[in-house]
Amino acid sequence: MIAIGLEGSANKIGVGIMAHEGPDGADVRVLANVRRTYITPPGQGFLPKDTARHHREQVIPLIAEAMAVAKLSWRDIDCICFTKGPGMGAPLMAVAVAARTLSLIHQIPLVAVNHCVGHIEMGRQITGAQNPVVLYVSGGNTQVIAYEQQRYRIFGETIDIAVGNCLDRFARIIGVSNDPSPGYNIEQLAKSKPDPVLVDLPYTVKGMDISCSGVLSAVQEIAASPRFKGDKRKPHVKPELDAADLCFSLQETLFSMLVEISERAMAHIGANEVLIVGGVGCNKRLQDMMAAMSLQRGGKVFATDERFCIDNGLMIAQAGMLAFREGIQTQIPDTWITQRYRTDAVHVLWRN
Amino acid sequence: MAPAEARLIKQGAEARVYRLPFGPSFAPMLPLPAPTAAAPPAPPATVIAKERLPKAYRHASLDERLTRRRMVQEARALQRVQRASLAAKATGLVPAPNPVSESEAVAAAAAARDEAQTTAAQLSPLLRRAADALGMALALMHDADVIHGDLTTSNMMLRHGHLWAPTTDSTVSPTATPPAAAASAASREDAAATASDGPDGPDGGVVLIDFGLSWMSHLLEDKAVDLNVLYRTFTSTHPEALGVFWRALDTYVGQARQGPYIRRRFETVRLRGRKRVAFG
Repeated sequence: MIAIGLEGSANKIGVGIMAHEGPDGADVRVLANVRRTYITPPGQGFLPKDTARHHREQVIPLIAEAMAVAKLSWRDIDCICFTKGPGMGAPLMAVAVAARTLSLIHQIPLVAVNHCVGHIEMGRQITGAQNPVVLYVSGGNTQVIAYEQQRYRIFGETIDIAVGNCLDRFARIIGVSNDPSPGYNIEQLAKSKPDPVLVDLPYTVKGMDISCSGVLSAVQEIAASPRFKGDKRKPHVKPELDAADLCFSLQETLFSMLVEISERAMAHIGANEVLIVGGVGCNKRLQDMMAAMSLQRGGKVFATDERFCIDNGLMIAQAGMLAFREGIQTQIPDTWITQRYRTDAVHVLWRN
Repeated sequence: MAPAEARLIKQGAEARVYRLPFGPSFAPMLPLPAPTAAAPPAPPATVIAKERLPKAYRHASLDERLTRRRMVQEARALQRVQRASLAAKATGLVPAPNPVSESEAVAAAAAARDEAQTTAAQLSPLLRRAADALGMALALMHDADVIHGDLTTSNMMLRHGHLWAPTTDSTVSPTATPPAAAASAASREDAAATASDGPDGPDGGVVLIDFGLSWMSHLLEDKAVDLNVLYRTFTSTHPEALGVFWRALDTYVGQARQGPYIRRRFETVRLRGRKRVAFG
């Protein structure tokens, strides 16, 4: 059985093709996984309208590219999976229109997929983690998730902005490049100095929830202060902090919060595996911190690299196909998209 | 470092918890009067000690800052709830008045979990008692203006005797108290004596632990958010036992100062959350 997945909930558009073969679909093969990113100039974020325009321009050539990489024709495809939400409305719609069109032209059933569930299923497939606590951390989402009774239940989450959003916005303030991604450049800056200064930032853990907006305000304030900008009256004196110090401090603070709530969730439900997914999940520092935590409690950490961590079409194909194999299809009138779609709203039929 | 005579009870996410006799190992922290012939030394009482472990993943200075802050917060909250006659497991120098044996507590928890496979309509008598006790304990804590900050079901313990033997009068019988802690223990006993109407004592058999993320507040909002943390624990971990939560909430509302107002605020807090289908 072969599925094609179309993803475009944020500034990435991705097309992935995946095969589940064998009697119980256990032989999983990746046939194609291509992606384009809408990159904005430093200091600017991506706006829904412009991102949707980017996706509309890219979607047809990208699908053609994926089909060429996989060396398949449309007759070979069993289902077309697309992201229903959550995400930005206009970009989601651009990709959903392409999915519907393909479905009607080639008479292939559609499957609407929850983006977060896509991340979880891709992570589980790639790493082989059986029943992990999942830390899903990206530009739009920050959640600690565990599976319980056919739902991915949210144990903890951010109560305001996502961790990735906090990093992206900080990158804009100090003018870090968005190419290939602001998070990647912050990671590089953070490790560019042998002995960086750790600035005191708010550390807000509330039970299993975290809050990031206060951290952002605090680091914003520091970035606008003479400690970072220097004193105009004393141009020869170097400011005490530079971009590397701030990136380092921001990462250390935010990631400590993430690892702490993951550990709380693990302790609470007695799990010893943790899986990191989402765009921020490919940050090596975060992975290392999670590994250190797991080591201390005799657990195991699973993570994937940027091909599967960052939004991609393959994960939508993976989650869509799991549902499709259980007989789920989405009829055209139900293929609307939504910006709000909780991870725990999906009935996970394919797990016990 | 834990002294040699300490016995490890539990290793949690944040700390190791020990049981140890209150004795010479506390001397560096608290000079005890040297025993004399006239006044023989008090028999040793048991205390629960909590050792916060350094986190390898966290930057050392950040870790130290957090650990210190949480230790202070926890001590402060414990003192406050103790004053409010709520039996809370203690850290450091606060004595444990009526130690529960761990095997009892574990058995009780396991039994509660088995019992929890029911819905609100058909809560077993045992669960009803547990839910009421929980509501009572929460009301006592919030009336002392202590916000727990991490109200998960992992942070609650059932006192075996109280729930399982409702007919016997199992009153609090503190073990001999060391001189240093006598004052606080005495005041607690007084409070317990006045508040202890039923056979279960003031806390009704539920013991709240781990006040590391707690703080002081009298705001409806903070209390409602605290309850919401508990609500979310039930929906995510024990969705089949949500009835326990609702019953506990009813008891809480009846018991706590400004209960009905807190309930109303809780209903609005419950609807919050990212990417929820809330309107439109």
